[in-house]
Amino acid sequence: MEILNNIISEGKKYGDVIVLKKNTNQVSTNFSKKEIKTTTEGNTTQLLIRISKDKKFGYSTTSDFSKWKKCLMDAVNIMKASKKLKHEIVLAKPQKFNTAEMIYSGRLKELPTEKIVEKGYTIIKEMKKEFEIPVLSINKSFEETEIANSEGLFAKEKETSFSTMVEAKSGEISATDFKVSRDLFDPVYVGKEAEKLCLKCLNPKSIQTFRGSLILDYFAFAGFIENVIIPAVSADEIHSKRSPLSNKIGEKVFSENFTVVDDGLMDKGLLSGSFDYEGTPYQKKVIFDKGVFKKPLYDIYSAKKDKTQSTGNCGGLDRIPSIRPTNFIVSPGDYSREEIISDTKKGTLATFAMGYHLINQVTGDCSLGIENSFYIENGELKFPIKQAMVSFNLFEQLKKLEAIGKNLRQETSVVAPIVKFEDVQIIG
Amino acid sequence: MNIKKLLIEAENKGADFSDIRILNSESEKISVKNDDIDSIQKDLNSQYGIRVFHKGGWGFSYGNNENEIGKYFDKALKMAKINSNMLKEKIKLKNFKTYQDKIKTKGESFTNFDIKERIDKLVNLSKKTEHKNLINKQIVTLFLRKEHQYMNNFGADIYQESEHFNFYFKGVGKKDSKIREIFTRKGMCASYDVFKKLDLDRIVHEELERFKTLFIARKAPAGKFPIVLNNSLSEVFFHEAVGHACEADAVLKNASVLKEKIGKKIAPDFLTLSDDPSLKTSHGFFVYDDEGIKAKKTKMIENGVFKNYLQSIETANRMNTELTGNGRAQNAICFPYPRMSNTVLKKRDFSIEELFEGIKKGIYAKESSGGVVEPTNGNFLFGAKEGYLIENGKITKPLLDVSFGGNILTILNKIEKIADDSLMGFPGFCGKRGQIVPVGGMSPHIKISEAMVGGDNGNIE
Repeated sequence: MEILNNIISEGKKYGDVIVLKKNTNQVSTNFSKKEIKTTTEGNTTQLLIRISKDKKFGYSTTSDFSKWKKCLMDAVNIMKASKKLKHEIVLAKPQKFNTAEMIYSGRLKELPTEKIVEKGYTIIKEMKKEFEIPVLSINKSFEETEIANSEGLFAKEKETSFSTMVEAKSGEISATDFKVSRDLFDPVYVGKEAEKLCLKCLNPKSIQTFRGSLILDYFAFAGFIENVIIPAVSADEIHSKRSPLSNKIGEKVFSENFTVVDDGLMDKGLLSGSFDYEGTPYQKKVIFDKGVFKKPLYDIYSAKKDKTQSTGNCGGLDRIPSIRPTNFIVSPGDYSREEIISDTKKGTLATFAMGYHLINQVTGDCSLGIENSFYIENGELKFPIKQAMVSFNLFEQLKKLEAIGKNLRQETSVVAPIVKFEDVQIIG
Repeated sequence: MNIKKLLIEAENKGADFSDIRILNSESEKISVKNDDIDSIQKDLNSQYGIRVFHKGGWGFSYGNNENEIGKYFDKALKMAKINSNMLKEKIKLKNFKTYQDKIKTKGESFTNFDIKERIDKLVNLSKKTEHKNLINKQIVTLFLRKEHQYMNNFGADIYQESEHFNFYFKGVGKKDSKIREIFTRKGMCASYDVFKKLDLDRIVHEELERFKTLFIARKAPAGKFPIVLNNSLSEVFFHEAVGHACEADAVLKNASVLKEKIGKKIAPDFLTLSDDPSLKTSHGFFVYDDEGIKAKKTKMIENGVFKNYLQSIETANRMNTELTGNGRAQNAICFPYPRMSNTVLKKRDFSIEELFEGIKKGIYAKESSGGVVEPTNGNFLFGAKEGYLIENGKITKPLLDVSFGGNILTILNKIEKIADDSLMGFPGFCGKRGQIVPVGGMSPHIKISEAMVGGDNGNIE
């Protein structure tokens, strides 16, 4: 608090000030049968300072708190050297914050490192002997954030997270599972899931190119949402006309089965908290309502361009604007996983997709690889597929989306069910 | 702070090996979007990373506080002991040759020049960047200066300075209802005066010219076709398809298809591929790796025979082989792993035109838009920014969003021809195990007799 006060009172001489201070403690253990085990503990600190005045801004960061004066003066000098923006940069007003429940776990924070390493051993012990484990990592982190601005805003919060990743491998076939939570969970479960998936993928066969259904499992679908849909709904991308949803607010753009809310106050949410990087309260808002594009994600500056309010989605102070989602939740459908598969005449089920960065974000054209995938015929998973690519237009697929799973999962910012796309080019 | 004393102390407390990396860096990012400032940032970073090896286990501790270096040593030792207590197999880390050196950057540093100079330059460039189809434009520069100190208890003591810059241009164009995107990047490990000599105007305008073909391009066909890759795409292809599987950590974890391939023929006779960090000003240039080992050129494939993996201290020790100087980390708070530097394919005798000869229907793919590989099974995928149909040996219609997939071991033997040109490739940022390092390479054009193309329709019209 003292350092924040000093920066605010010194920085006020030059303009409006916003400052964030972060302390992160991270403990992780990485090992496998074939690699020397590494256990790590890190304590990192970060100070972020932004100064603005007369439509100009300067931003500077440092990991060394003792250099705060230099950091502040760097921000001031950058502001002086910079050019005027079209709009004024405004600070968030002080206010009371709501907060999401269960984003901090005391028992997780206090968990001794020995216990984390022991859990790694338990995973290996519980997995079948014939599996190799190229990747096994368990991480816990604790983060404290303080924010203050020269309007008198001050807030702080603390959060924890725990994650486990395990890759199971047999011969040339491998499968990975990954789980993240705000609290401690039994990581043995992750090893078991990886093992189950790997078993299913043994003895894969090649397929011939065909058009058919593509069922995207959680990780595969969440990747498309994260890499294409989230950028498309960010106000920045909309203003710069890179988003295909530019000028489409209020229009029905996708299937009426497609509803999405962005909710920073979801209990236990991996991206939950109380405030964003500008000190705007986190909130819950509808982004797509039955296929209608309702609202982009805004920070203060981008909201001003559209004469509206920030949605609490500022994800950094480095850019004007800088936007990121909180918990981006795709509404579930009515179908169980089994129902979606049994209703498929000819197609594939993809657990993962690779090459999201190759998607054309402007047109929505996707052409990428699928991993841990299965061939489906007459409602049954017939066999695992050796290697395949899929090709389709994501926006066209979301327009006709029908089959959506009823269970949700969250391992990233995206909370999503499994879905089925129809008439997809599947290349073998 | 007497680091040497701390290294000796750690040894007395039970460390078989310990090292420290101290990184002081200064970076600057300026982004101009449609002639307005979009982002402007400066960062001062100080990092301290300490590793301790104790009876078969690693402990690693890091932080940003110089006054706590002693504590970081204690924590790293504690972590290593927790590990080794539970280990059955207690591997020893053998002694290795160490270096003492001071590497200073030559030329001017951006840190000695006012940021205003660069802001004005970018805003002026943006204002000059015009095209009838252009509806959105963004120009970005990134500068990074690193001062890196490496020491270990075996006697290494290296101080190394480096400077990198990157320049990006991104544009969105519109014609009728069609929206197309263009993107280009230049990146080097070089000082500010080299950056100042770049003809940014020409780089941007060459990229703008691409709108011409992009608006008439059609979707790529789907299926299996012969393909010709240009220099930068061929470089990314070898980086993804072969390089990652050569990294010794993947091999040791049995997560590489190149396991047990040393001395075996895996590619045609005319194919020789190396990793070479010594190419001056290249994006993947360095003198010492992040474990204080002198970097050098390493042959991965020589005349079709697989020769060497890329090693870090740990992997070379486990494999009982020579160090290659490929232990790299994103920064001092990341653990070093075997990583590529510049991937270099040796040029051969064919002219570029000869690569197209005899192709009835195929694809010519140019410039990389990125790639990805699963080294465990060898499946890879990569994308081209620009593609053309080849019909009867001639380049014909332009194609959109061409991406290719395949499997390493299968496709290596489908390389039919390597051309006689060789150009510095695309300055890339390679991601692995959550860390990003700058990489580059040099490669001629190549012809592959058959690869999987992920397009939209099964027939070439």
